[in-house]
Amino acid sequence: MARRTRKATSASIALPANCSIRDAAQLKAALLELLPQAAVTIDAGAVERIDTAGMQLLVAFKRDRAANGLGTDWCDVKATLHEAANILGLAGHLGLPAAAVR
Amino acid sequence: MAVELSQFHDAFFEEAYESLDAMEAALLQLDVGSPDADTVNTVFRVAHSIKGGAGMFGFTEIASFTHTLETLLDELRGNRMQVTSHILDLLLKSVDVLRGMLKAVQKKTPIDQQGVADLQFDLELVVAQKGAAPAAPALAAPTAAAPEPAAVAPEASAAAERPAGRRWRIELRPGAGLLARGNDPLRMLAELHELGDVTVTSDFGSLPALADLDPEHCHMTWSLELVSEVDREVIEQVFEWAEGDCELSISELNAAGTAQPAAAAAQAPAASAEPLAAPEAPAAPAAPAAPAAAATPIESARTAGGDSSSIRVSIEKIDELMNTVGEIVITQSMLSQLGTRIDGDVADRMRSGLSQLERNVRELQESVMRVRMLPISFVFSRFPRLVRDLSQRLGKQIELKITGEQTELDKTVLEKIGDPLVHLVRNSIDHGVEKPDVRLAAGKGAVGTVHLDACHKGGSITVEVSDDGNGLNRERILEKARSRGLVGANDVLTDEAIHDLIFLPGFSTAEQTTDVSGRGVGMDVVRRNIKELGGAIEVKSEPGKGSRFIITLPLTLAIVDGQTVAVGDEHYIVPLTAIVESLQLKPGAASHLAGGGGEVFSFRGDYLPVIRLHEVFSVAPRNRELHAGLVMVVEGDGRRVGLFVDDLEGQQQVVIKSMESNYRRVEGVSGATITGEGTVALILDIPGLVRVAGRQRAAA
Repeated sequence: MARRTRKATSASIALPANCSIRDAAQLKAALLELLPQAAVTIDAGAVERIDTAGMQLLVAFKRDRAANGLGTDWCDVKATLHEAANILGLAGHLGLPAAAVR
Repeated sequence: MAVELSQFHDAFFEEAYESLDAMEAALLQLDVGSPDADTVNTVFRVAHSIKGGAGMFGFTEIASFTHTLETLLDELRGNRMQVTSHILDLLLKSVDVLRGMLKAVQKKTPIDQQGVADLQFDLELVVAQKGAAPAAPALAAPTAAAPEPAAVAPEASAAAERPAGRRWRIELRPGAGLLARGNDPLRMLAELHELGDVTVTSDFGSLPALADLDPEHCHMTWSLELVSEVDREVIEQVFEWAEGDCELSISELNAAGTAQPAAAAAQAPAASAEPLAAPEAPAAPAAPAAPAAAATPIESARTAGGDSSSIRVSIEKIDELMNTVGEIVITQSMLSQLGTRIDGDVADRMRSGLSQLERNVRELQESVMRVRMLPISFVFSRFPRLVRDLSQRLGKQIELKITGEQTELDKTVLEKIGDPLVHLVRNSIDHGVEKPDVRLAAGKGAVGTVHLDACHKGGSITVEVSDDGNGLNRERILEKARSRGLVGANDVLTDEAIHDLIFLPGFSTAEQTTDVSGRGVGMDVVRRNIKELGGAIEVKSEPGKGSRFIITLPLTLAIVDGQTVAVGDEHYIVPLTAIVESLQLKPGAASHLAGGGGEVFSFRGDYLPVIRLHEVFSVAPRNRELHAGLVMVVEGDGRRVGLFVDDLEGQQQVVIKSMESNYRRVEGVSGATITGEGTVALILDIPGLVRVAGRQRAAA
């Protein structure tokens, strides 16, 4: 499951390889915990599988934080996540960094 | 999105085979010249779904072939080409090739690349040449005006006359159960992306705060615009699996990019939305009456939820169930026997409970048996194709009549009866029904009839293959039998005996053997196969009027009606079908043959050998004198023998337990069963028993 490291006011979360409906409840719990953090970096380097359930959690996380004026950063976003975001029309909402998009 | 797909392979293959059967059946109903639109659509859908499945599982050869097939079918469906008998032949051949490919992929054997490529080429050629064969006049006028050069690739020609891209608006509103049922919008939208250019707008206005969000519930909705040449159905297929779990609306946008108001669209007949053309493509086939665009929300046409009336169950599971029920039957009869020995006030109540149990168990047993039963239409359904192909090849006109196809019989019997039936039908077409000119000369209609019929008769099933052809040629059969020394030159045979000769090995009277039948390996194998199933075949024929082959089969192979016989302390079951009669011999009625040939006794003018069961199975008998016990006359493989036993006991239905799977094959024994007392009784295989006894006597 997601590993978390905390440094004072900024935190990061490394998404697990499998961000699908199977582990969605765990991912939700992990994200919830990070919700109030001042700055959060989502490390997506390990993501191999992601489905709509996983994407939905990320969208909700990002949106809820933005509503409270909190920023969310991404690092190491791989093609899998980019592709899923593009297909579902969520790339803009997630604020994914520009990357090689097919 | 790497999902382990191999677990779904079996389901794909099973479904694909079934779809192909449906496609074949639909093709056979297709009238050349005036095809029924629904039927063409059915065929198209089958090809499309196989293509989709094959693509998903990475069976590229199948996907590529079905793509070509689909191109042709799409032309037919769009009325841009007409169904000719040549095309029909190609389509039927495609069914065969696809079956072959599926089989090869399933068994991981090489695909017949050459055959596939040849047919694929033919299919492409037909599409490419469609300019030369104008389509249905009403709709095809614009198309036919610009015939394509023959060499143009099918895709290119199809594209040339289609609008560069139809614009579809798709609204997807997932329901609560969508994600949980494994239907991922991501996958569906990815499929849409493959169909053409997609502009996707997601809406998560109703997405609750993360804390309140049910992670297994999709709260987002999508609105998509697809620019693609595909038809509505292809888009619907993408969402096929999500049926009932989402709200979906698909509408075609007109050139200005606005969909018709939903209210107006809902009134438009679904069919009018089909062959639409964008106005900027004047060469397109436009249905004159159709509005420029029409949207029909498809959820209205679809029923919510996936109620289906059947489930797939593996045969092993049913066999297991059957086995357990068999055990319950045995336990129940043990309890019943114990119950009779109990005294006291509880005993009555217990006995009534036991008889209740007995009824319930019997019902349970029958229900489980019925699960194994399938309608014979599973076998009959392959014949329309066979008859069509054969009669074409042989230049005969034959109508196939099928009745009683709902008659049910055991799956195992069903599987094994297919080949013998194919043989009989082939024979009827090849040897039975005459060519049209011969028929007309004989005063019959030019079209011959082959009739397949099935019905229940008593405890068995009768399947009949009959034709109104020339009948068996009595003289020729007799002549042939004499020339082969099967019948003495001066023997006088009844008609029945002569007809029976055709079941002898190596017998074929066709003047000329064809590749259809007549290699002389036929009827004896047919009879043997049917006998192995515990059935029988007889033939009735009238010269000039036709012949009837009547097959009698047991309802099931799992249960046999048996007579229990006692030898010493052992019990054996003799199948009732084998028993001729039982008698008690008078002292001295049996005589020994000279030279150690064993004992014989006189039975209705014949001398029958005696088989002493206690000798065959080496058990201690109660009697050794023939007149002290009983002789049961049994028949197997056309021979009659007398079985010497101590006593006859009850008749009952017994559940057959295989010797091979529980122990090993034992000659003279076809299986075993467990009696009410809990002891094992062997079920006798009479033909095998005769062989064993013969060998023992020779060795003695």
